[in-house]
Order: sequence, then structure tokens, then C-alpha cells
Amino acid sequence: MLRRLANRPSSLFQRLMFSFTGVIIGVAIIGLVWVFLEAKATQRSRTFSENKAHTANILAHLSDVGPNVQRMLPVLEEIEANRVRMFQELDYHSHVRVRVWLHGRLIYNSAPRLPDRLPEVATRAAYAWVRWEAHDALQGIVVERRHEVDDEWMFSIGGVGFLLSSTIFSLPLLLIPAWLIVGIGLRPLRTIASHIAQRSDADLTPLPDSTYRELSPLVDAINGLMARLSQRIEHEHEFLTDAAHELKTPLAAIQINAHVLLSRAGNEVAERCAEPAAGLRSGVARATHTVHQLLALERARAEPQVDHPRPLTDVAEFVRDRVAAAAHLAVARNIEIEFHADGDGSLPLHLESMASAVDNLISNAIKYSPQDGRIAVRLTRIGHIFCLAIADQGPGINPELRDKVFDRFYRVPGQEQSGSGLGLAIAERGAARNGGIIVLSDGEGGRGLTATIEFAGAAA
Amino acid sequence: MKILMIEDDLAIGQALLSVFQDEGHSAVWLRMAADAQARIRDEAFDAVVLDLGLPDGDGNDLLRTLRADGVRLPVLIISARDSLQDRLKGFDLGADDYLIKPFEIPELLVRLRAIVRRAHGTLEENLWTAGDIVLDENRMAVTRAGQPVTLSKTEFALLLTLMKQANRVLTRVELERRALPAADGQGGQSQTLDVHIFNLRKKIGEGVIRTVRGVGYMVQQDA
Repeated sequence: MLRRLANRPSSLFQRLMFSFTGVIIGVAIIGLVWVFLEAKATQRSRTFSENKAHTANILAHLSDVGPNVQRMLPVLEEIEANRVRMFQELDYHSHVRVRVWLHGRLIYNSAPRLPDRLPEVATRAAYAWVRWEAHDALQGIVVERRHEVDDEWMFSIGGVGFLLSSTIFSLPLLLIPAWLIVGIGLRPLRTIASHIAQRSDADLTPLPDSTYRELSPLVDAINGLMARLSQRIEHEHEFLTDAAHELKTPLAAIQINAHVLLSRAGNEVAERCAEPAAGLRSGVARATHTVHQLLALERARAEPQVDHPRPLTDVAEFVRDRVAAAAHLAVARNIEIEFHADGDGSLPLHLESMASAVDNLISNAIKYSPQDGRIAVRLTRIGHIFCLAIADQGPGINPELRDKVFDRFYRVPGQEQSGSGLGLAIAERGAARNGGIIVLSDGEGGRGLTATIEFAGAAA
Repeated sequence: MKILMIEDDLAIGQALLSVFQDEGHSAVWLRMAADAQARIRDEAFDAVVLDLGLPDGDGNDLLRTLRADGVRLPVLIISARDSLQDRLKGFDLGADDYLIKPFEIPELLVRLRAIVRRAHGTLEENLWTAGDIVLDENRMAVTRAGQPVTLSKTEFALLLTLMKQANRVLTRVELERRALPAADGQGGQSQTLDVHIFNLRKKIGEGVIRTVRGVGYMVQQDA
């Protein structure tokens, strides 16, 4: 699992999540820029209007008291005091300067410490100031109001933080549901993947149709591949079967001609030719055996498309028949073969492949048993699993080779018995077709070999 | 006997022709299915040896046509097709026997004689032997080393069943079904079979009937 994760080049899930997060951030940035631009323009025009109104207001008050400095100053101070109070209540920090001239002489300055000239445009050191003047030409009063435009705070960490705070706080609220939704959305994909992962390599049946329109092309493509693959395997299978069949006719011709040759040779020649004749006969027999085993191997192969209905078979009776069919070979070599049915019951079996599995194991046991040996065939049942153990007293198989002997055409080195090297491969396939496996272990009392088929009938 | 062989393969046809001639049979060899019907109508054959894959059709079709025409000649199919379905189909269509290529010549000859004998219904060869035991089916008599042995009806039926299929292990179920009277043995009274076998062994001596434990019994031809 870990290795699979490491090998995975990139994650669709991450890709979706990153895209989603990117969109959120993008929208936030666009919103921020919009707010900046808009605020910059409106703040200036708002401050401008404010200046205009305030100067008009001050001028109105001053016109009321008349052009008398002594009476004008308390009015101006009270207005300024009102403004300061209002700014304090509203928590405004921007600065304002009001100056008043009477007949060209400066009589009032609300912020005398500031320099005369204040910047119209913001610089790095100072904010911009918006200015307005109101005139009363009759009484010779000029009122100037300057107001600092504090639009730079938005670019400070505090300002950006304030504007982005809503986005930042809403991010987890958006991402957690998105994470769940993307996870749920990708689940059908994982389901299909696990369907495929759980399959045996022999199972090339199409995947069930996806209920999601987006996954249909993928499922269709995989099913198409499966169909082509099973067709190809079918062709290979036919080729092998045909090739094996084609060999039978020339073998038959060799066999018949050998018979004619030897029967016509006469006694004297026959005696001299006994050895090559026997060699010829055994050679043909061996080739014939291999051809038959090849066909049996192909036949034991599961054919999911054309599997015939499986009859419910009495397992003990079935095994007894197989032992009966092979027993004469054992008796001919004076080998004691016996069958113990300690468990019974019926299973739906694919008879031909199951028979070839059992037959091959029994025939191996007989072939490798010593003269006067003993073979015990024992059927037991644990729950719904049947165990058919065939124990012989032959040379056994070295534990390190017990996996290898199932390979096609592999034969344990250094033995004198002839064989095709296909018997156990056939048995394994036959067992697999009936939902079974074959386990090799030591024979009874540590001598010889026990071959056990554990099977539970074919999966429906 | 006169044999009609329908086989398209040159090598096999020629070799089989030699075998039949060496055995003293007369044989006619055809390589096409089309010629067969006319020859069978015109000549009296004892048996047909039929290959299935023929250039102008399937041997099975020929067999079906022959049986439909009422030809009862014994037919032995020789074919490379060895699957159970193929064999069952051959028997279903009316073949008397089915031999898979490649085969042993003695087996072919024995099987050929057997189907001809069955077709003629001759009783002459109803003597069965195993070792020094001889069983005459027609006269219901058994001898051991020339000495007559008296058997009960059931014991005789058991011995006959075993000797007819010598060298083959017959399961208890098979023996009960074929040799034991319906009242006996059926219904799972398996000891009955053992009692009969025990008695039979006492009368004909040890070493003839072999027990395969858990499976059944067999008689060895050359015990």
C-alpha cells in the first residue's frame, strides 16, 4: 500500500482541492483590488464634499457674528472642539486643519504646528490632503479647510488583514465541505479500482456498467480491452488445442506403422529388434501422453463465458469412482490403495476438470510409489471445505521444490519415471476451476508425499 | 471379416489397411464420406471403421444418415477428438465404440471383434477366464483348475460381473446394482455384499478377488 502511494505520480484529489483553493484565493484578490480602487476614488470625493460643507458651515457662522476677530475666535474654537469630540467618538484618526483670513490677515489656525504647505498627493512620508476655500467677499472672510485623506491604511498589514479577514475565516468553512464533496465525488472511481484489483487474473468478464456518465467511457474502455484480451487468449487456446490435435494423427500413423513393421518382421528379426521396438513404442506412448496432458491442461482452464451448469455431485462417491478407475494400475504393481471417506456431502462440481485433478494426483501417487507400497486417499470435511488428501510412500518432493513442481513442463531432477511435467499444472487448474487449491506436504509418518486438494465447489 | 474403413489421412489409411490384411481381414478403404453410402448398400460389410474429420463432411453426419436409413452395421469411430462431449455425441448418434487416436493396434482389433460379435448376437464366446478360474456364462458353470465349483445365484452373478470387467475395480455401488437381487443390498445394507464376497472367496479360493479398501473389488485377469 505504501509503495503504491509512493509510486502514484500525482493525486486527482489534490489537484481538485488545489484548484478549488486557487479559485477562492483568486476571487478574494480580485475583490480586494476592487475594494482598494473604489475606496481610493470615493474617499477623496467624499472628503472633498465634506470640506465644502464644513467651510460653508464655518463661513455661515462667521458671517453671523460679523467681521470682529474677538467674537470670531470663540466660535471657531467651539466648532473645532465639536469636531475633535466627534472624531474621538467615531475613532477617526485623520487630521484636519482649518485656517481663517480676515481682509487678507490670518486670524485662525487650528493646527499651527503643521507646515504651511501640505501635499496634495500622497508621498511615502505623508498622506495627501484635500483642500477647499470658501469666500465671503462682502466681509472679507476666507475659510480654508484641509483634510488628510487616510487611504493608505488599506495597504498596511492592518488594512489588508481587515479586508482579507472574511476570506481567511471562511476558508476552512469552504474547504472542509469541498474536501468531503471531492472525496464523495471520487468514490465511484475508487470502487471501480478496487473491483479491478480484487479480480483473479483469469477473470476477464466485463465490469458492471457505471451509473455515472463520467465513468462510462473508462469502464467501456476497460471492458473493451478485456474483451480483446479474452479473445486473444481464446485464440491462443484454440491454437494450442489445434496444435495438440494435429499431432495426434501423425502419432497414430507412427504407432500403426510400428506395429505393422514389427508384426511383419518375423521372430528372428523381432528378437534382434526388441530393444529399439520397445524404445519406439515408449517414445510414441510418451508423446501421446504429453499431447493428451496438454489437451487436459487446456480443458481444465476456466472458461467463464461458456461454463456449463454444474451438477450437484456426491463428493465421496465421485472420489470413489476416480480411485476405482485408477486402482488397477496400483494393483498391477502390488500397491495397496485405499479410500477413507470421513466426510460426505454434495457440491456443484465441474466434473471433467475435477476428475482430471484427482486422476493426476492419484496417478502421480501410483507412479512414484515403491513396489508393495501403500497409498491412502482420505476425504475429510471441515465446515463447507472438503479436503482430499492423497498420501504415498514414494520419494516425496523437497520442500523447496514444492512450488516449482506446479510449473508447466517442470520435472524434479534426477528421476527415472517418465512423465510430461504437466500433471500437477493440470491438477492445479482443475482444482482452481472448482474453487480449490492444492497443498503439498510430507507423507504419512514423514515419508513420501501428501497432495491435498482443498475445495469448496465452484464459485457460482 | 470384411471391413469398410473411411479415413482421409493417407498415412493412417495405408497403415491400417496393412494391419487388417495382416490379420486376414478384407478391407475397403474410402477417403470420402460421399462414397460410403453406395458401397454400404452394394456390399456386405461386417463393420465400419469411421474417422470423423473427412474432407467432404463430418463422420458424425454420415453416421446419422446411415442410422436414419436403417443401416445397423456396427460402427467403430476412430478420432483425435477426445473430449467427453465428442465421445458422448458419437455414441448418441449410434456408434458402437469410440477409439481415440493414437491407439494401440491390439486394442483396435479386440474392440472391432467385440462390436461384430455383439452385432451378431453370437453366444459362442461366453467363456470368461481369470487365472485358473473359468466361468461359462451360458451354462452357469464355474471351474477352478478344472474342478467344478458350486456357487449360489448371487455369487455367480457377482463373479460374472467382476470377471466381465476384469482388471477394473468395481465400486460397491456398482456391484450392488448389477449383481445383487433387488431385495438384497439395495438400501444401503452394505454388509450383505461383504458376506457374499466372503462366501465366494471361500469357494473359489484366495487371491482371485482383490479388495481395494474403501472403494470396491476387482478380479485380475492373470492373477
